[in-house]
Amino acid sequence: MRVPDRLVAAGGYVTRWAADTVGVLLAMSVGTFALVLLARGDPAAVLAATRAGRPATPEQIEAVRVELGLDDPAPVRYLRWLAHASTGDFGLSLRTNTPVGPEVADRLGVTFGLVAGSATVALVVGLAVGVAGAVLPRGPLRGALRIGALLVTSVPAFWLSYLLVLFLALRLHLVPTSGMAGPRTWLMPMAVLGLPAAGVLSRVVAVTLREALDRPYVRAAQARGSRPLSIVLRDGLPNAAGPILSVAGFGIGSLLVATVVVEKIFGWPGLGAYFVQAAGARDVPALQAAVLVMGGGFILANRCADVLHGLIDPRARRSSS
Amino acid sequence: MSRLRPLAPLVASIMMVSACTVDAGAAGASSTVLRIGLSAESGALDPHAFTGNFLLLDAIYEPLVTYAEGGKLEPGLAQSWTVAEGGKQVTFDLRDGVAFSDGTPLDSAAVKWNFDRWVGNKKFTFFRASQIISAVDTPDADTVRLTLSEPYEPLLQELSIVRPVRLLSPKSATASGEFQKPVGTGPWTVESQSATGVTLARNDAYWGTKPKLEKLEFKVIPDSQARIDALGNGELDLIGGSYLAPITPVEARSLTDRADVALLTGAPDVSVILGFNAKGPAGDRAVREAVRQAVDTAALAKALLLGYGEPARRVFPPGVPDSGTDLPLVVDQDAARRTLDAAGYTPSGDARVKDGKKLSLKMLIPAAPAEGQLDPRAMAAAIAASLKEVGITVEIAPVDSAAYYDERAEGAYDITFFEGLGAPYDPSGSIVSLFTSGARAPLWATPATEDLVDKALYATTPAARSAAYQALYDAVAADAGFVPLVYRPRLWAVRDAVKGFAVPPTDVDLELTGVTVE
Repeated sequence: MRVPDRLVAAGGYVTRWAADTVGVLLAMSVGTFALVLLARGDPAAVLAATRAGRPATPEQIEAVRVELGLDDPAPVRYLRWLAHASTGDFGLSLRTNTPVGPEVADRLGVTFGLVAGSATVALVVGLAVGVAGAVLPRGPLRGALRIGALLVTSVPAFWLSYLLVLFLALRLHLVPTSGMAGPRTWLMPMAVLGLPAAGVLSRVVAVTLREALDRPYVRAAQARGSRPLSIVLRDGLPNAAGPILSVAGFGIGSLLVATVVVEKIFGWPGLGAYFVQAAGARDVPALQAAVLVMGGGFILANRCADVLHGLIDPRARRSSS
Repeated sequence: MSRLRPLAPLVASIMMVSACTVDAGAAGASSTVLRIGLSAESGALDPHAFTGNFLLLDAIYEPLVTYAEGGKLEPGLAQSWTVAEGGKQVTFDLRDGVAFSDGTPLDSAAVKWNFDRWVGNKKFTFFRASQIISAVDTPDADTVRLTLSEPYEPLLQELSIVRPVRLLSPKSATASGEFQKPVGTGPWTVESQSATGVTLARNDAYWGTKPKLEKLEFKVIPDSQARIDALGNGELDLIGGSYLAPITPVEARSLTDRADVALLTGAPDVSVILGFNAKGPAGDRAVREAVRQAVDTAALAKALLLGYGEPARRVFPPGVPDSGTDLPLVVDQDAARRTLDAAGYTPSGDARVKDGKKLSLKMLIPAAPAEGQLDPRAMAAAIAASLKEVGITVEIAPVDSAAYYDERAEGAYDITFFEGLGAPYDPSGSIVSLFTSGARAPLWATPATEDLVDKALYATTPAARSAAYQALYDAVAADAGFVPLVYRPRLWAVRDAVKGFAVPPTDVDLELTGVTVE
């Protein structure tokens, strides 16, 4: 039986992509391991001190080192970790002595919800403001949108967070200052993460859409008497999809990074907060798992953007196969 | 419809998050619930593990011996004890009619089961009692007898700490000894525990005075400013303490503007101390002496503690047992200059030179403050400014906090910070780590200090012990081996609606029996 060419091509594409992804993740795990070694700070010392609730003696630290197998040479430790990780066993957290896999899975749920909500904010606000920026005539409103986008993109996440807490929670009493308990508590963290991404996205949408709307086929559509909204949706946006989607894919990656700050300020027990705790304790198994999941998410988001681009724009499909 | 498909996981995830969370009302305090800030997740609420928050464990589990104000040891689950055999045998008479919250009676078998989980176990070498107890006997159901391999006076105080000496119900572990659920004899029981917080319910079968409140809600808010905001907004009732929800002096100051929040300070239990590395320029006693004379600790306290703390005059603050008498520490920059002149450090521009070498000290500090602690950068800058006045150049070397303790242990400094451990561990807990060369990063260790540490630890009478401690402090002061800087303030903040709260004797306690919320 002959397998259709298209399926073979798709199979090859998936295989190549999977190999690429595994390669990148492997490189990341080596990098994480090496960085923790280079960063100094002895996990056995940190752990011994945590156990005692105070600084530990050299013998206690040595005992912890032996107990955890941290006295083996670094390459041995890495390969041992890799052998376990390849079977899905990410080991015990040095800090909490509990399996890393379920801990990361719990936190991934929280972070995924946060990122998904923030991405929604980014897409809705970014597209709306971007389209407005493209179709509005040059004037004060368009300028204001552009400056607004520049502002939310430029302020650091922690500052935007405190600003929102100050106004929305402490002045107006619209929402609680922190926590993860229902939609009212989602507003601020999702806005803090989503708005800067929306700012970037809106600029890309505005510029690429304006370019697309200058094309001859748009003038032809106008001549046919199509309505402006339908022109934007059917002729403009799909043709501007490439740059918009790659910015969106990359933006989700940046969202993942910013969760580190936002989860701490708003008290969300997510992966970002977990990563910070693990880094402070030089908790290599926990760090590895967190980095791999975040890195995997970043790669996946970008790959989804590519595939979506292919679905929307046939030219991209042809060029990639 | 197919166009919407990519959005489906997104919508599903939002619904998932909403399903997982409960919408808690923001304001509107109930009179039976106290809402408390928590700076980090509670950890495993197993008294024999290492991650549980001290105050939560304290609320659930009780010790045989209780640490009271000023280091007084009072009966806990043991109503009395006797010391025999020249200090090598301690016999506890257990309180009658006490049961764990699952109904298991607190008898000598339960105590022995608990002690067997840590006595002689190498994981617990951080407190000496775990290694020095050679036998745990149960002559009858009411009596527990500990035999020690040598007399050890601090034993009783060590039995008042939190981990691992508090008592867990033997029924809450599997046959193989694995921890199952948190069950103790204390005034509170665990109702729920998650990554966002812990809810404790009153133990209505508690043997002692039952708390007036029905519930304690601990909310995890890792960011310190966010906790201040939550308190100010009426979402929390209580924050503070080293291990609960630490407050910095700057944050405390910002709270004084709020009409409905009261700021409370407890007697300090930790001194922040400047220490020297004897290998290097600070090996010269004249240099250490000059540093001690030049650092204006009163100005430091005023600038950094904003009136919430005092300049330090002792290794341990006055509230710690056997902290001795105030050391004669006088700030006198002219005297510092004279000391350096006499030792041959001649002024040269802003600095001083001896034998062609500039007098410069490397000051190792953590790059970021630990949660709720004084900012080491601000402290270092203030000290460097004081020392510059007398011609000592200071090169500030900030390193990541995990690496800081390693570098300090390796002696990669001329001057750096040291602290005691605080109640209930001090003074016996700290003198070993501060004044013996076997410690990982001692503050000042000489044969003389080591000898005095031994004398203090193994003194057989309280008077001999006090004398040995005082001799130890005097010996270090005579070497100019350290500069006590400030007493670290113990800050708590509470909403005015909360009545009857007093700062607990130690930062590992949480005493809420008489507390009510209006």
